[in-house]
Amino acid sequence: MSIFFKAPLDIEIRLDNEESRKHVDVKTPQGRMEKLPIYKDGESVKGTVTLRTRDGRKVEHLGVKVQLLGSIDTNVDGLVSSEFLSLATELAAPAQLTHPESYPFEFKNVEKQYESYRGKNAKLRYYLKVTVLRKSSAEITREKELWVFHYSAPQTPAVTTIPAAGVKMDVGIEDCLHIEFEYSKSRFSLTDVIVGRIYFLLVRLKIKHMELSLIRRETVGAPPNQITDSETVVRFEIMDGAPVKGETIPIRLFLNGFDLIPTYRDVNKKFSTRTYLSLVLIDEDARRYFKQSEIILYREQ
Amino acid sequence: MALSASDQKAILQSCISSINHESNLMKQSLNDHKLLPALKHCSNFLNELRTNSLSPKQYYEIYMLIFDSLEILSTYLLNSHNSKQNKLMKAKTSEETQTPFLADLYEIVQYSGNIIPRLYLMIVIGTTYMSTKGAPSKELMKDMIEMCHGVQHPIRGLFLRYYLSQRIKNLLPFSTAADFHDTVEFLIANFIEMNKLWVRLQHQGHSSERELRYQERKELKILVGSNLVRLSQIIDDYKGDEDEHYSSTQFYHDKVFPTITEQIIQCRDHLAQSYLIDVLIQIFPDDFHFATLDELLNDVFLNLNATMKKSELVATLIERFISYKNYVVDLSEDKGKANTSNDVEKLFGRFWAFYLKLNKQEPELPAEEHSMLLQSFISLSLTFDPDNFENLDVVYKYATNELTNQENTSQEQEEMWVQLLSTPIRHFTSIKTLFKLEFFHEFYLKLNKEFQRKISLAIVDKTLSVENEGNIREPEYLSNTPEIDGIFKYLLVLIKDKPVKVNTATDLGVMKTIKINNGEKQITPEFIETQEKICKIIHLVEIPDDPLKTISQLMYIRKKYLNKEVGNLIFTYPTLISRILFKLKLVGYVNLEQKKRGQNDDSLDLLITSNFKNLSVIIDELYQHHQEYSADVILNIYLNVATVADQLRQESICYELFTQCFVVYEENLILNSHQYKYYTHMSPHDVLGGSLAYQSVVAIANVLTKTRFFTKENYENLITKVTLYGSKLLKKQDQCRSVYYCAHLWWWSETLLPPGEKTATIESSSKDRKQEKEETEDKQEHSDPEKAAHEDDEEVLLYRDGKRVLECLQKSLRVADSCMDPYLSLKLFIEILGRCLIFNIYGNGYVDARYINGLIDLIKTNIENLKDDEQEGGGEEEEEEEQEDKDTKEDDEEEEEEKEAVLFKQSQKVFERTLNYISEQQETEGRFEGIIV
Repeated sequence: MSIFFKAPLDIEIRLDNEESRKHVDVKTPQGRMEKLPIYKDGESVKGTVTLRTRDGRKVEHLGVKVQLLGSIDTNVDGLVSSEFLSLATELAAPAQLTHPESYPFEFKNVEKQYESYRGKNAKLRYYLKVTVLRKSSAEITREKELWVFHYSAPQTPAVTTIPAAGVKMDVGIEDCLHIEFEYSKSRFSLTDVIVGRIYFLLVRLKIKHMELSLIRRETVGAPPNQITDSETVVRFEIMDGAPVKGETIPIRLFLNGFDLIPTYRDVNKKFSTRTYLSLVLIDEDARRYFKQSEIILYREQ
Repeated sequence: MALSASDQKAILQSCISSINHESNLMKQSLNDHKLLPALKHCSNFLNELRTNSLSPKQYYEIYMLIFDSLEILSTYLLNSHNSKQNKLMKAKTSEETQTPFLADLYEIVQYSGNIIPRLYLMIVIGTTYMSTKGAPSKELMKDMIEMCHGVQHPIRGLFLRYYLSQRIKNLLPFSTAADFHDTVEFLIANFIEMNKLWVRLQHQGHSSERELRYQERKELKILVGSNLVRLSQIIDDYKGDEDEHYSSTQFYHDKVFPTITEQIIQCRDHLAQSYLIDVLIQIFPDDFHFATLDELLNDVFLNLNATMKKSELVATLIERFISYKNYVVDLSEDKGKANTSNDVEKLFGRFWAFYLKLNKQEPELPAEEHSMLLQSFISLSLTFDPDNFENLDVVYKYATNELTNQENTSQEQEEMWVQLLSTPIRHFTSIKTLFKLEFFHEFYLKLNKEFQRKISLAIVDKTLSVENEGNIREPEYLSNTPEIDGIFKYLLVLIKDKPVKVNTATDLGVMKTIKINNGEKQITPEFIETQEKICKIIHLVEIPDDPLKTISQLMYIRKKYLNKEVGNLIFTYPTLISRILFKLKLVGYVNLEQKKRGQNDDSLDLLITSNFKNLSVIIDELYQHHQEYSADVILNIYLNVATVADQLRQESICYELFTQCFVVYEENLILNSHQYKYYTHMSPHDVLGGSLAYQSVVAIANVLTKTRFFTKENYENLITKVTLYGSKLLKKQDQCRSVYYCAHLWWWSETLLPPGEKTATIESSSKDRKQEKEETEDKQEHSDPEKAAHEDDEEVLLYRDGKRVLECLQKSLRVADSCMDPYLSLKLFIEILGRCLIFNIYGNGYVDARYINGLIDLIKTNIENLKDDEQEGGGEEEEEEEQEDKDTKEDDEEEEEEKEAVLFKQSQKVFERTLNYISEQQETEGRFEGIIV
């Protein structure tokens, strides 16, 4: 739009310390990579908006405001967008711009309830929106997306003691297979390592190999018309060949290198993202036996 | 999913080329210092190790390729680590807490999605990391071995773990006690896991491929064993880290041994158990085995898979001990002091206890097992306790009582027992030690004949072997009855041995045989050899300085052993007899010497006489059984004995013996229907040829000429008889020759006596002689007074009867004349001429120049006649012969002709030479006066 109707104003949004701030690479829907600055929950968003007129023209405006918006776009039955955060600050009263003017702004200690997310059918984004109101033509806006990471606090000792025993599971097919697997915990930070072991109590299958995979599952919408999208993020072979009864296979999976997202349940009642750890056994006839269990991922500082 | 060999080859080729390709790419990346792409390529070629379709050997091939490629990576990593480290050192500005580069890599490679490349990368980086300073070696070790659990595929797992152990083997820490324990744990853990995989391989795939699996596993065994090898080295290298109480043996006994053996027992796999026990025995030091012997035997061996051959294991173990013992002996020889080993002496007891337990546990143990075990025990006992025979006896007693009672002993089993018995035979330096083993013989008796023979032969060979470990030793004489009994009870089977019946249908003439007894009997060379060996043993019977006792022992042997098989007497008796005779001769000479000095020992005389009698009994026994075919041999024996008897002045015995000779001659030799072909094929012109009877007569005559202690009467009786025999021979030439030989019997030419002694033949008849002499002188017109006087002067007391000599010569002349073959007749004339010349030289007056001249004339006439015949009658003869047998071809006749011509020429030449000789003698020596040439 702005190509055809060239706005008479250039709006530049600069964030403080933008160069030194950490950025994250995010894939755009078009498939390009985008670098976005990272913000935390409760962090002030501070910056300057600079308005520049083009070609030295005079531009009249009815005021300039900057908004910090948080919105969730879902695609269940058509695109639906809803905002869950909206903060605004007036930057300038109506006036005439003749030369570039900068307006600092600050949203102090903004509560960013959710983490930014770009999934297949759901998107949660935070962005700054500068609006220059004009009376004649449409308002001129400029958006700048921020990326919000939600860091969970390191586990409190109380929490850690409970999963210290680990997650233990017995699964099997009667008279065919009986395995017991154990993970050190069910909550993992994204930089964590999944450590565990698989204990074969009974093996009558001719197992060829065994994999561990991480599946990200995105659920959008409310139960009647819910859309679920699963994506296998990681596929990791943990065993080659057929074990015998009594064998213990170790599991170690570093999560750091994978593109994982923390677990969010019912983000604003719109969508959820979960990650499942799936243990897959493949036998000689290429049949797959698997057991999934959810793991909770969180982002840690 | 069976792949054909060619398919596998194709796969292998593609694997190799892909590995080479990726490995080259990796090298390029490394050259450009692009580590991550290099790792990527590395992971790519490691993916080839995931293949399922190669045989272990082929897998090993690609494994080696990859191993080499990974070494490149490792070197690169190490270099870059070092350079980084150096930079750090130089800069010093950067914090020390910076995470090491290799640790990061170690984590990075764990993102690899496939487990095989991941683990190989982990190992290559982990071990490289371990080789750097300050690396958390033990954590890495533990981590790697833990993660290796992920590979459960037998072949891939084995190779992966093998890779780990290869890479890590020089990096294992063992400087402190804790490190050492961890290292040992690591090795044992790896060993256990590898063994599990290895055993599991057996159960993979289709059951029809079981054999194939077994083979494959055999090829892979070294991978498993390598762990134990390293373990042994580590234990060897570890010196105990200031812990004074540390003892590697104790450590092995407490820690290593139980874990390993438990694993071995648990796996229940035949191949694994046999191989691993073997490895265990071979690689760990002997001290360890001594320390754990009881456990090894009773806890491990007894609990192994029932199909395992314990004997092999025990044998290996015992061999180990034996070589240790030998080594120790060598060592102590060098040092000059004996190493007193702890409780080595009880070894046998421990093994024996184990054996009894084993028997209890597995009563069905096959005989081969028993045999093998016992054999090992015997070697053990012999090595460690060479002077203690109780142990051996224990073994044999057991074997006798327990093992040989089963009636259905198979051929193989018996062979085993033979092995068992021959072990000590080989071992003992003196065979006499064997006699101390009570049960050896009892056990021996339980075997069947064929195997008894084998043992016996072994014993005999041992006894006869003069060389002992390169040193020529004195043969051991058997000097008392127990010793003789000791060896002869083993020889009995050989003595009783019968010549193998040769069956041409089955043997197809492959077996070499010798025909004896005029072709009626066949024997093998082996048989003869055996008999010969018995004879050699007989020669060993010797009581030093007591020939009489020796004789009685020899008699004893004959009575108790040798005459058990009359068919074989002929092979052994001659030796026995000559041996007795030899001893008897010694006794006799001593006796004579004593007599000379005036010490008369009547009892000794009596003894000698009785021994001669016994001897003749023996010969008679031999004769009874072998007169038909071996009469000539027996005759010779009689003659030998007679010679000795004569020399010992046993006149009556000697006479008796000659009488026996005549009996033999008359009964068997005079007209033996089965003439030896050897004799009959001789040409009648040959002086040495002739029938057996002729040979016998000559032999008797030969001996008779040498006797000196007959009374004249007896002597004349004997010689007359011999001459008569000679004159009655079947063939003219035999008659002729034997008679002219016998002529010598009447004309002794030498005394053959010690100076001063006189011959009995003359003494007894000196009066007669004189008379006789006078008579002869009277009778002869042209007697030789000089010679006669000469004789008297010298008083050479020799038996001479010139007249008889002449008679004999006349007789032989007559016989020669009556020959149908003129050539033969001529030949004989010339021979007689020779004799005449001899007697002439001897001074026999009856054979004078006139007589000789006559003979020469006769010969000359004969030659002339024959010459004439040849010239004119060549054709006639031919015609005659043609008429006789028309079938004979011209060639044969011509040949015949030629032969005769040759003979004739030869005769002529001989005659000429004789004449030349006469004339020469006439000139130089003044002999043959009056003979006209």
